[in-house]
Amino acid sequence: MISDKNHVMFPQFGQGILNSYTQIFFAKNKWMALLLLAVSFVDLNAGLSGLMAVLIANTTAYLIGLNREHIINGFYGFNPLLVGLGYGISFQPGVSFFIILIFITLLTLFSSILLAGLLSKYGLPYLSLPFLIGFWIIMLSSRSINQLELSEGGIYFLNELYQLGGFTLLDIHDWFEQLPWPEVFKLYFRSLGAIFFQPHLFIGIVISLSLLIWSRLAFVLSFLGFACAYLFYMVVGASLNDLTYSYIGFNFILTSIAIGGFFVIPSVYSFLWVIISIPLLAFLQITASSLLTPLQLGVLSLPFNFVVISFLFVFRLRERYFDKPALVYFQQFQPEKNLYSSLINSQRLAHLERIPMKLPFWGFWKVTQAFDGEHTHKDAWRYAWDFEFMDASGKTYKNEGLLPTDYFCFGKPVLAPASGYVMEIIGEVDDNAIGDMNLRQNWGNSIVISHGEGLFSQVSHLQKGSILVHKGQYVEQGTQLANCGNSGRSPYPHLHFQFQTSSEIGAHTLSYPFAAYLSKNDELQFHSSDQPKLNDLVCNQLVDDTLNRALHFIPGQTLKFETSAKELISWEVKTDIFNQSYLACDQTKSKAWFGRKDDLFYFTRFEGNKKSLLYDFYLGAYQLVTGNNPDLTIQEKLSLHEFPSAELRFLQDFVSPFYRFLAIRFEATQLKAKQSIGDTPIIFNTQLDFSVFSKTLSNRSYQISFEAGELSRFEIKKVSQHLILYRV
Amino acid sequence: MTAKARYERPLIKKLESNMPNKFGMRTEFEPVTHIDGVSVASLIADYGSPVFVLSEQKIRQRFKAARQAFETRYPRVQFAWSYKTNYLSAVCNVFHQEGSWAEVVSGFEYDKAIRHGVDGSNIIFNGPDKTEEDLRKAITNNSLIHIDHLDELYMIQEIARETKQKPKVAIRVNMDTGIYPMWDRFGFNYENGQAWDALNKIMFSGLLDLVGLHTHIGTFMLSPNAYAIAASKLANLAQRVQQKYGHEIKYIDMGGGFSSRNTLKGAYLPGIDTNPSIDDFAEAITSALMNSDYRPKTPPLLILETGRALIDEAGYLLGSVIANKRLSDGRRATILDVGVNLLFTSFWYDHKITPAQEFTSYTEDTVLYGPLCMNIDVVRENISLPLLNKGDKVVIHHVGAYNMTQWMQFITLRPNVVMIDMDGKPHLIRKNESIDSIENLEEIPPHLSHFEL
Repeated sequence: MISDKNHVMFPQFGQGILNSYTQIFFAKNKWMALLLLAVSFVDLNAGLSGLMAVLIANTTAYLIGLNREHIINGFYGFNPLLVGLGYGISFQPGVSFFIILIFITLLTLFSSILLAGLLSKYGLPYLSLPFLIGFWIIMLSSRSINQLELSEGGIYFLNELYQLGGFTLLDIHDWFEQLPWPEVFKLYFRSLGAIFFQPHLFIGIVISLSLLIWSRLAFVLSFLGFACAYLFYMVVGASLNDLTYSYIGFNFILTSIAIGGFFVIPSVYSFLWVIISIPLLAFLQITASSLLTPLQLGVLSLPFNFVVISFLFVFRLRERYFDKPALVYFQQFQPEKNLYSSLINSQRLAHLERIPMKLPFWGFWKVTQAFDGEHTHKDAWRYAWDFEFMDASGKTYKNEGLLPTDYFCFGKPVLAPASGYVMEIIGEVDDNAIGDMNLRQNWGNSIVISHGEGLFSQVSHLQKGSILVHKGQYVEQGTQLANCGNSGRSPYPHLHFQFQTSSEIGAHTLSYPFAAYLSKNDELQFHSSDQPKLNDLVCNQLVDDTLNRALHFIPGQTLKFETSAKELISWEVKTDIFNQSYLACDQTKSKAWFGRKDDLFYFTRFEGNKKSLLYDFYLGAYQLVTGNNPDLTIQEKLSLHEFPSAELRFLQDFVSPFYRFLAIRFEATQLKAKQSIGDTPIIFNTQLDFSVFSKTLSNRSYQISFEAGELSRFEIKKVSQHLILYRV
Repeated sequence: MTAKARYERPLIKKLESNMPNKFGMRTEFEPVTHIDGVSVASLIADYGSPVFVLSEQKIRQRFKAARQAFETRYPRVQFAWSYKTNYLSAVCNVFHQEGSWAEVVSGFEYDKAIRHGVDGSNIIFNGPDKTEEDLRKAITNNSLIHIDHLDELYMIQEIARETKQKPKVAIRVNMDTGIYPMWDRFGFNYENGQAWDALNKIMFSGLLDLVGLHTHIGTFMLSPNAYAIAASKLANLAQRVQQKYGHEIKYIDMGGGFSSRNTLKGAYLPGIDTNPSIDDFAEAITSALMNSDYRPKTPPLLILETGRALIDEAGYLLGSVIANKRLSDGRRATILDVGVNLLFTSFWYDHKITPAQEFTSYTEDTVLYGPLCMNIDVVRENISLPLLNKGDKVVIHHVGAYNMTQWMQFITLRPNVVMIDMDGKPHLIRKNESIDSIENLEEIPPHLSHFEL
């Protein structure tokens, strides 16, 4: 049993160690970690003490029983690592050195946990505050500990290099040092090196290379932050000494990455905030150093911690809905990934925080007045719709249209848009003759339903005597409330519908979307989390039984396929600790996270092997409408980190917040299916189009068939591969 | 030179000075000279007299209105074209183009639907007479079989057992909906438990896939409420099946029988004013379904098999006056070239008949006879018409339903049928019969092939 556990535990433990190195830059990247690990060992003692600190911290965290996900992510390791590095640089190794290392690591770990507890309830990170605490404590207390001897390391750096690699390494070092580069570059690299307590050009270059490997944007931001700081010091005439002597410039670099791209979605706005942060950091730095110098303590990363935490707190406090720059809610540990998914998902998954609303009628109705309408939808009541039924010839009435009953919508069922409690009812207002208006009781017969805190819906101008519900009643979505009528300020029969913020009839309106509906103007279109526009012909999307069952993946369920190459594939439905469901392929160690709401099935992200069939399924079934709507085509975009060409993606990353020349388009079309009882298959053709400057670079096509409540067949039509998966 | 004035025969009419009724003195003699923009005279000139004329535009209009009536009241609606109402291929295809499935009641109609290209799974097979061969075909084609009686149920089960197929079936249910006569000769009775018994037999056997429930409560119904009762009784059965077996009924088929705008014989007021509209039926059926306790996750598909209400008004029969005569009791009689051989529905309705040319305002009560040498050939027993002359044209309205399927080749042959398309262009959709079409089917034994007189 132990060997079973080892099999899982050791790789994860290794990950935890590597991630502790990259977490210093917020990253999770294997190659970057290896580079940083190597760099840390340029000073053997520091490297060793850093690694030991990580080992001690992660093992302790594991034994105490802290969250394993956090350990694997390196959240508990990176502060002890920094302390270990600084400590290893500053003191001579020895028995007491290592004994003290153990306890200073524990102290740092506990500070991490404590600060996490204090800050996480405000949604804030603790950054390298634990490192500051740990390092300052050891620096102050070391003066009373006789056994600790200050190291000469770092002071005689050339000697160490010689010991490490002889004259060759020295030559390399000299060659780097004498490069005729502008000072700003040299300083930048040295400042990067200073993060690992080794402000040397060569080390800085390796670190910046590792940044580039992890994230192009982080690389750009790191230099941008530093260059701006350099410029600021020049312009205001502050002492460049601060930057040059203590290489404290890394504060600008880390802040720039954090504010410009890691905790915030990279954008013009985040870049602006980076520029705003520079002077603040500079002031803090000067002030802190004058306060701390008497104590003989370094400023270290204090300005960075203060500025980033305070900025994030300020961003979180924004009350007015203005999300520029937007904060990252789902951290993917790479600025580009965060940006690309946010570009897609801010629209695509907007429904996640909404109560799913449906249109309050059956069949296609026409929007005859929408937001800011020409008749009555104005000012506080501007977010409202008027709906009328219109026949194929575009008429809303039969005969002469002189009687309310001539109008097709008159007397038709009005439904509850979502479940809720009936709050208000008016039901005894007479229906008007055509052309007349009741301006005294202008809402006419109306019903208000409460769907939750601050979200109410109102239907008005209902037919007198048609109300089927009573005050206080709980109604399900789709329950008939009453009939469409012609009461109140209604010259001819129509249905007035609005969302509002309180329960009174005629309260101020609220702009809120419908979860899903179909529109049929020129062609059939599907709308998710959208609002009908004037003259749209709209109808609720009806969920198909077969698709509903087939696309309802139950945790624990296994989807088994046989490919046309006679290979057996199985994907298991699992859920993670964030209550997110995913399909997992054990053979390829791949996972595809998906979501489901009534009208849509959609994938959100993929991790693992992009050559796996699960990846093809992720792409092919990226988004499917769960209704039987022949000829309906939906389009969606994919996050650009799925772009197949790594080289193009690399170039795109540099300019990603400002201009995107790559695009991935997904299109799904339902084939014309026969309408019959039971087993007719519903077939979707889906296609992905990868384009550069709007020119198609490559594409992939898929066909997905559903039959008898199951996903029955999945066909992959790539240039290199034509494969069919049959459900077994 | 002035046009020759039209001759109108003299008329002596008793002066009626009693209370004027609210319908005034004039009746139904406003001339109808054109159908969808095509003149009656040219239709008769091109296709002969009599001739049936169908308006594609009217069919589509009526269908769309009916669909609209149901779809704005209920989320899932499907129409199935009742073949027996009118199975001319062109007519069926108009309905199929509009999205209707096929509802057939015999092997012949079944084959016709298949020939039209309707997929087997979109054919509803009703009726008391389904042969074993018919059933095997329908099962193989995945059609929806509506079981009429236990003997049929047993036969289907036997075929299912033998062929290892799982036929999709529904049962036809008859019930008391408060109207007379009660159509209890088709299907299983609701009140006496036959229907529930049949459902249990189906569910217990496990051989059949019970997909629907069907009823058809009568014909030319004048009471929408009867449908409401029927719908709630079916919903009740569906709910009991769900409760007992956890099995969801996929559709509820309310059949047809909706009245058209014809006036039934004996009715006091014209049907166009008194018959319920399709909206009234839709309202009754859908509210009953929604108010029922049957609440599966997806609402059952509502299938409607209405025929007459969709096509009656789209059909016209054009004919000509053969002669005028006076009967022994002094009544005027007019003989048309259209009789009950073509107008089977004149046994049920007082058809609206209008002349196809201008007239003065004078009318005369008359009996309209057909051309058959048979006493029963009476088209209208009493109708007030303008003064018709030999050769004048008349238009008989609302004849789209049943006449083109129940017509008789009796005494004379059946005429052309024409459909006027959406652009007002007439198409011949069924050629008139010739003596060959009758004689080709006949065989004369050799000893009867010659005779001398």
